[in-house]
Amino acid sequence: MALKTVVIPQLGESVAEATLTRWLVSEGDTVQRDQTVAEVSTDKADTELPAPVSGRITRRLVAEGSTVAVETPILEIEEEAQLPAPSPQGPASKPVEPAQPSQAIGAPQPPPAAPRERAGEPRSSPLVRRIAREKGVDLSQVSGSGSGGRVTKRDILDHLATRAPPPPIRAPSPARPSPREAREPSPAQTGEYKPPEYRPLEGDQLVPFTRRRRLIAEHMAYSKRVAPHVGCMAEVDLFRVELARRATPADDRPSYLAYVARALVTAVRDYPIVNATVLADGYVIHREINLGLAVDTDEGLIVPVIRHAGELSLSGLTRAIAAAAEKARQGKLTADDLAYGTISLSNPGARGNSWGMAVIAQPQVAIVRMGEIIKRPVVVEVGGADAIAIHPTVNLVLSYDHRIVDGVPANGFLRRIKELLEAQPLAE
Amino acid sequence: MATVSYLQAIRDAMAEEMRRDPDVVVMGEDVAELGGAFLATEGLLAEFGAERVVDTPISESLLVGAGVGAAVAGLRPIVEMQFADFISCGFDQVVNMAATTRYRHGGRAKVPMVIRGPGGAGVHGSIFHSQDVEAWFTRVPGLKVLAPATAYDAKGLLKSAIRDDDPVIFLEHKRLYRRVKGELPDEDFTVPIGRAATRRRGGDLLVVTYGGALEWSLDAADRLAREAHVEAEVLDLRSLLPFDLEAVLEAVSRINRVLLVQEDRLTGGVMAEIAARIAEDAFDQLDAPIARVAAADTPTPFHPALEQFVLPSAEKIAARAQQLLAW
Repeated sequence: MALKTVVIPQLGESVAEATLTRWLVSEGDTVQRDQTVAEVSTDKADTELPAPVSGRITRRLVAEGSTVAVETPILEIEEEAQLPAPSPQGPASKPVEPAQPSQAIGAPQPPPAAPRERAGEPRSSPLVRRIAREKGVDLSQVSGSGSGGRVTKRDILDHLATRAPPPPIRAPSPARPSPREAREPSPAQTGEYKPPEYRPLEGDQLVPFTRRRRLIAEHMAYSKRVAPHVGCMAEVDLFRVELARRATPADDRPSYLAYVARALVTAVRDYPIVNATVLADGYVIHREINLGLAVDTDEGLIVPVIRHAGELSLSGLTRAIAAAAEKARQGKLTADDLAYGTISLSNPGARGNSWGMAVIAQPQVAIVRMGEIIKRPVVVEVGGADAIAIHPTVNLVLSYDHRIVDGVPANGFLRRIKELLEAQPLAE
Repeated sequence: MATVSYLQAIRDAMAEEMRRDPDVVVMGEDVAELGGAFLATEGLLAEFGAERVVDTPISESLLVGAGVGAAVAGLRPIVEMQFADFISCGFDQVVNMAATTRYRHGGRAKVPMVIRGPGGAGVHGSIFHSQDVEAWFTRVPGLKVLAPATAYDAKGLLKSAIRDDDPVIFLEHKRLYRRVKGELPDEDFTVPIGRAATRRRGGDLLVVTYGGALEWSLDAADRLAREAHVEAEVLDLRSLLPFDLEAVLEAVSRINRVLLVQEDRLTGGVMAEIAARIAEDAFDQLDAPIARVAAADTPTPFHPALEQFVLPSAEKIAARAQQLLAW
């Protein structure tokens, strides 16, 4: 009997460690080869660990919840002895005349070695194993009449005919049932969290969903469910933007939002992956930039789209933004005004706080959210020496869909927006 | 209805097709004056004349080549090999010319030719007159290969072969020529190419076979029923290229234990391909390994006792079936 040590396998090229999220076997359990013994999660994926051999669990080497490096031993299995070879004269279901191998050509060599069977189960044919699978028969409960005790078609059909009423359909279980310590299934394990029932409190106000609210709710929940959101933030010095604005007559002065929008659509040229649409089996990188602008209205958030935003000048963007915002506030936006967005920008304005992470508008892959524009002390260079100055600043947070966009282009994209806003003059 | 022998069925098929279609001609060594070594073409010269029933020199290469040319030019030649073994002398004309003409001409030329001849062992014909040659040809695209085991199939399949627009290797079994007889309808009939026939019904064991091994397989099935109360189903392939995979798989799905029986040598035989297809397409329908009974991998000996030792028999098939059933 050999002792087999199970280690955390190399689960991916860049995976160095893994967390043992759940043990599915206890010490003393008997396991079969390929039975799942543990659930393991990494930053890339969750996976199940199969037993490499059949045998008895002698020791669990790490605790549930611990994070360990790959190749760390986690389990010891005492490998079971090989099944004894079947006796040559096994019970047979039918009378067998003694063959005469010395005379018969093309016949009767000794029967070939049987295919490997699962430990604890009698030998059986491919047909029998299929029937067992389909009918939910535990083959160890079926007595075999074939050579060496092999379970034949007739054996399993007889077993099915005499079996008690069919067992209830088993819920899909992550592993073959095995004796393990009793545990209360927690919501996290079953994956079926149920919020506590509502109990009215004094002063409660019931707000039924409007159609708009329900659509927003479904959209936001969908986005958070399907798109792994990752965020990154840039602190942007708006000093140069402020100088440029002041140089423009007040009645024609572009808004800060227009500057950020202009920088955003310009940066998309260098990082086109952020201007994309996710499809079922792939994604589309758009050449056209249709910029969605998240606008607050009395009825909630709405995102009108500025078509061909990449082709608009600073003043063109300013006018388009003002027009869209006005339409939104008057409730005059049409379905067309809201369609075909390829990337979004959210500006909660003076009440936007220092920073925040927006939810990506599906099926886009990126949204930039502006924090409030406030004056902050910034380090500047004056005559070759560092100095502290007071400049208008804004924090820009990019939320991106990590299914499609990797960190490097996402960070580069946001950094490029910052560079453009801090450059002098801002490229038209 | 009339009782006719396997040989007479073949003779009748040719005569009827020659009456029906003036393009059908017969060529071969001694087919005209003598009526063929086994008398399969007896009487054809008298009825159809020397233009349509032609004695040729002893050269199978020439014989097949002339058949290809005649077929391309518009006739429907029936070319006789005096023994199927001799087709090896015309091999190039069969596999490189007859089989490929349609492909080489993009479908604009065809070779509606039948090459027929007696194969098979069990008549003490020794090395050069006992071979089963089907497996030389069942892997050649462009050919059809038929092996009838009954008088009905001999007539019906030969008629289908003559009417077919592609070259057909029609393998008669010399042991069956006079042994096997059948009640045949008086009216015209054909047997479709590519369809197997169930010769016996049973649920315990499936025997797939063809040609000279059908008789042994049916004897073995009767013996199993009598002595072991086991009912074997016997499926006769009849057509080896194309073969009726659908019928084989259907029977496997019902019966689950399969014994493949051929008179030909074991290695690389027709049943090797059948076994592979069953394993590929119906593995989880099998209740036991696929088993084969075939001739030993050796030339057929002359001495009757040795020949019997090498060939399959009803006894050997029944013994192998018993082992398979006990698996």
